[in-house]
Amino acid sequence: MQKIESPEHKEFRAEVNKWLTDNKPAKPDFPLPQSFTEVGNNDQFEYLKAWQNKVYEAGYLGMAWPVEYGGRGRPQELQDIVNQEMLNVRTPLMVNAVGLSWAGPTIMKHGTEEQKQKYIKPILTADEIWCQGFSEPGHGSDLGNVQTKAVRDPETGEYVLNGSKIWTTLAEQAEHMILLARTDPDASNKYAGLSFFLSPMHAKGVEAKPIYKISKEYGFCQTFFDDARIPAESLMGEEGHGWMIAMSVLTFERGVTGGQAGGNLFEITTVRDVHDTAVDCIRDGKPSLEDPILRDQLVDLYISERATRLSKHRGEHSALLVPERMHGLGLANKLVGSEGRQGLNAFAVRLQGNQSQLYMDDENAINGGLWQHGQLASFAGSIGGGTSEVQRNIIAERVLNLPKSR
Amino acid sequence: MNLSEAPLHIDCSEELGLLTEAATNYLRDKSTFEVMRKLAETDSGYDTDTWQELADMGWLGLAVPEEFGGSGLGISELTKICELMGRFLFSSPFLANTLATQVILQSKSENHIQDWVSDLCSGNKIATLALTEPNNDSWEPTAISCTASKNGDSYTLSGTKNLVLDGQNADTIIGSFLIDGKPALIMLDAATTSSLSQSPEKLVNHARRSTRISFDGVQVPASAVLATGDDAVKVLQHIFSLTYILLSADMAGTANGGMELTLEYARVREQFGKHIGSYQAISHPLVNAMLLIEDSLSLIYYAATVFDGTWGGESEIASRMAKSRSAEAADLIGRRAIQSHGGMGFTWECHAHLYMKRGLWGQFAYGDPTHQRRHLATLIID
Repeated sequence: MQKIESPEHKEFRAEVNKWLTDNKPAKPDFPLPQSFTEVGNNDQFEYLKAWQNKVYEAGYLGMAWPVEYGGRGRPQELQDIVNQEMLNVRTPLMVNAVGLSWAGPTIMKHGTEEQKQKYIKPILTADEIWCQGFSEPGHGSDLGNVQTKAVRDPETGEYVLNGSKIWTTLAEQAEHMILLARTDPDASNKYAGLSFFLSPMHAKGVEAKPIYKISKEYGFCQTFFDDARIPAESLMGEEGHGWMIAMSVLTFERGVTGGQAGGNLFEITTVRDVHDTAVDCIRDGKPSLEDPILRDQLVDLYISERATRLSKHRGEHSALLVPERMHGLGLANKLVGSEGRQGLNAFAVRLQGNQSQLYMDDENAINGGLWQHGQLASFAGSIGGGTSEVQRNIIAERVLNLPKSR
Repeated sequence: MNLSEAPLHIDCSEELGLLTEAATNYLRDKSTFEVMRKLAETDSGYDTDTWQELADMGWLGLAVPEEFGGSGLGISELTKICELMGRFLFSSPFLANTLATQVILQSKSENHIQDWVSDLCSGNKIATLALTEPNNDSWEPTAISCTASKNGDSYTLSGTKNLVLDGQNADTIIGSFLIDGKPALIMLDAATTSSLSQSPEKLVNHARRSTRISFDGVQVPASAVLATGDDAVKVLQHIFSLTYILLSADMAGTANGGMELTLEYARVREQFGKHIGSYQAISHPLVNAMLLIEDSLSLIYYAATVFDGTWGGESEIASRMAKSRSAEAADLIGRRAIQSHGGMGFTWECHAHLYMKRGLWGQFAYGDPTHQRRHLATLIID
């Protein structure tokens, strides 16, 4: 934790801030998604894709990724500064989230040279969008039990896929999927039969059907595989190594491990945003911010937000960690972040008194119903990528060294 | 005011790491359950040999400049020591003596610094503060009703203070009084202190000692006045913020200790054929407690890093945030420690209650979370 930023970093921060401010795209005449999981139509998609491409071309994305694969080969600290300034300037989110933040880093860790050459650069440019095929209708939290089958055709070497994946964010836009499938149903245990694929979405027999969410918006799909044939070189790692690679994906996805290309995957809402909303809210005939209980709760949110920021830094810089649990902070990132966002949205709705009942598209809804929508959308965070309950199991077992719950 | 959005930082020097290691080893060795339970039964609540060792290691003057006989380290180091004392349930007048020493330094009264500080660092003398009063039951530093009236060359004191930490162990007591309606800090010397009407209080926390003191009719010379008016208010604000941080550290450390005790039990105790730690009803609340403890530590280390003793800005905000969150952490783990131990947890013999009680005391000393957040609301919202 640097106490004082070096002059070079300060200068770079100013340069980035200026570029982002000058190049931030004008607000479109349609609402933008608050998260990469909420891209519901083509207008939103094209707008966000163009922005990601522009950021990449300017040299501000994948800065710490190797030059030979399309990155810029610069220090991670510079990308961190860019990420911070994107939040400060409130630029749009990075649409190729799965590619940038977990598929890409996983390919660089486990992929062949050929796979790296083929996939990494189009992730950065947003020319090829990625989606994730982990959860299935029958197996979400119990990921090790996935049943989608990949059978190797001994003649051609191709794999034949049958089964179905669910909650596939961006499946309709995606070129590729990171796919966990069962290659050996008779393996010694359920994990050993799994393999990992970089699977094409535009193959015969692959179909993505959009699913309505509680907000009655699209954003994710159920993906069906019906004798879909994918090339032999789609396999990453060896057959039977799928579980190990999938676990590696999750450490990137949950922010336990660094190495992401950069940029924000959510519109970050801060307590300050809620506070700004609160200033205009009336409850029971009085300004909401005169209510002592709401004041208490707002302050508590400020405390939580700051604690989360500080703990994140402490984890990243290994500063003054509790010796009994050196890795606790990283493993908690996802849980703390998603529950924090949920609490913040819920509070923002609660502030509005009678107006709390209105929803998006009502002309009188405060902030256009943004918070009401956010409250519903926030469950994507506490369920997707491993539910909060699973996260607590993981922390209990790996950080607190408690016996396994199953 | 708007909260700072600037990148946050935390001091973590190499010295701090070395001190942490040494202090952990020392306190783990000295502050065993057996020793602490024995001390809990004594009037003084501390061991004089150990106290002298703290002095010899330079801890009693940890954040005192070397020119005055201290070790010349900072608030971050002091905070870490307090955290570890909480972690091992250490019992001594460390907090009282440290805070009183800081008051003398902050008052900038050269005579008092010369006369007292090196003795307080070397363990020859013990000092404490008398700042809270039963009359107004307030947690604010300037809520003072005790008075000092000028009477020729001396002052006549009146009023009662309570919760005077280690009053029974102190050679000198620094109290807050009103002189002509304005706050003042007055330091009672050893002779006066021994003749004071003090009665020991019964605290929920066995590791702490305190007294209630009546100052009615006590005479002190004019030279006993450390600071008056705005100067006194500034010293009081400085010391309250510092107290928030050190108490927070004590609570977070206590919470860590309670966590370890509970985890050890949950790993081995079996019910219904399984270790109880494998049940989510036991493990998930412990995860929640762990997250609260980590938040607290982050807020505490940050508050120590930005501490400058002033009110109205980042230093005050950070220290109050730390106090609010740490009290919640200590409270949760204190309760979970007892509950998770089942019937054993309800017994005197089980150590779980020691953590809960230390946490309870810290929570309500110098402002509970509701109080801290009410003040933060004024700072952040209005």
